[in-house]
Amino acid sequence: MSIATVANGLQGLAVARFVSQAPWAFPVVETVHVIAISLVVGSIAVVDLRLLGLWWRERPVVQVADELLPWTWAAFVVAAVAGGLMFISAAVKYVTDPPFQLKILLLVLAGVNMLVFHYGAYRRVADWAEGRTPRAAKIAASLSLAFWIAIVACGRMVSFTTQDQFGPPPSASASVKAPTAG
Amino acid sequence: MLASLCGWLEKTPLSTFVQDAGWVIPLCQIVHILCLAAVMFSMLFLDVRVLTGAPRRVGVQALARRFLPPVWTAVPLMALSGAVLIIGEPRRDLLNPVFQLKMLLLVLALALTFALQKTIADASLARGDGGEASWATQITAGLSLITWLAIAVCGRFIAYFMG
Repeated sequence: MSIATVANGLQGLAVARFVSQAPWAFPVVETVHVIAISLVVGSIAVVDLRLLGLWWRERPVVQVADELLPWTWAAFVVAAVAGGLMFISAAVKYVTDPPFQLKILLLVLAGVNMLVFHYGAYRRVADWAEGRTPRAAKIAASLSLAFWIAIVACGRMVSFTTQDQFGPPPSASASVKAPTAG
Repeated sequence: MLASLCGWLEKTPLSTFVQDAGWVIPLCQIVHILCLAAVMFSMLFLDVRVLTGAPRRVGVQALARRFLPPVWTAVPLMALSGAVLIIGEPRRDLLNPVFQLKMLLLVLALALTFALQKTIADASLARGDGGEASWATQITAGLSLITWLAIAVCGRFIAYFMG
């Protein structure tokens, strides 16, 4: 079974057709995705900047991580569900879209980076001396920041938005556009 | 009047540059979204902590000192990147009812955020601990939470409403 077959199947699901066809469905899902991703990136950035020693240095890393990572995970679940709905609404188009493919690759890399850090350097977080973060943690934090900034950039470049931004000139009356047509 | 302003803006050299250089608008949008991440997370985190009123290891006053400065830095960057988008496509924004609503909400959100900063600082001066938030601070935080979320919603919906 090829990827195209799977994408075609996903796109035929009732829920996928709802997102692509019902007025307002795509804009609403997209708005939820943008707000959720802003919370994912914002909370991850705070933890990364703390690991790099650039932010909130008066608190131990473990406290910052314990307090913020529940926000990251909750927002990530929302972003992934909303993103999944947008994906299946036009799965056949997205699987061949280079920015989308790069975004998924970067998400996987960000996940691997997180796992390596979590089961590596982070296991001894309680022993990190005041203000002394090991080099491995700083590398992981820098990679994480770079990956997430790139993920946001790829998200912007996924081709659904180009239709909004570079489409025909606005008409005289307010109108709703369907950016997923096609 | 707004329409003639748009007509004039569109013909300025800066606008034609933004229109012709295909990379300016996507770049400004990416900067805008990254700054949105700073503003949304800082405000929602602070507002929710004030609202739940459960001081943990760190009080509300310390959180406000930590999370409000990035908001005051990111908002001007959003205004700047947003201004470039307006200059490039003035009709898309200035004549758009959703954009106009967004600007009204932004004024409200900035006032609420300033008020929140002040009530937190005053309360902690009065009591000296800065741990728990007063009801006035909590109402301000609740309104701030709703207003910032509404601004983000408007921001995305601008693309779907053409004035």
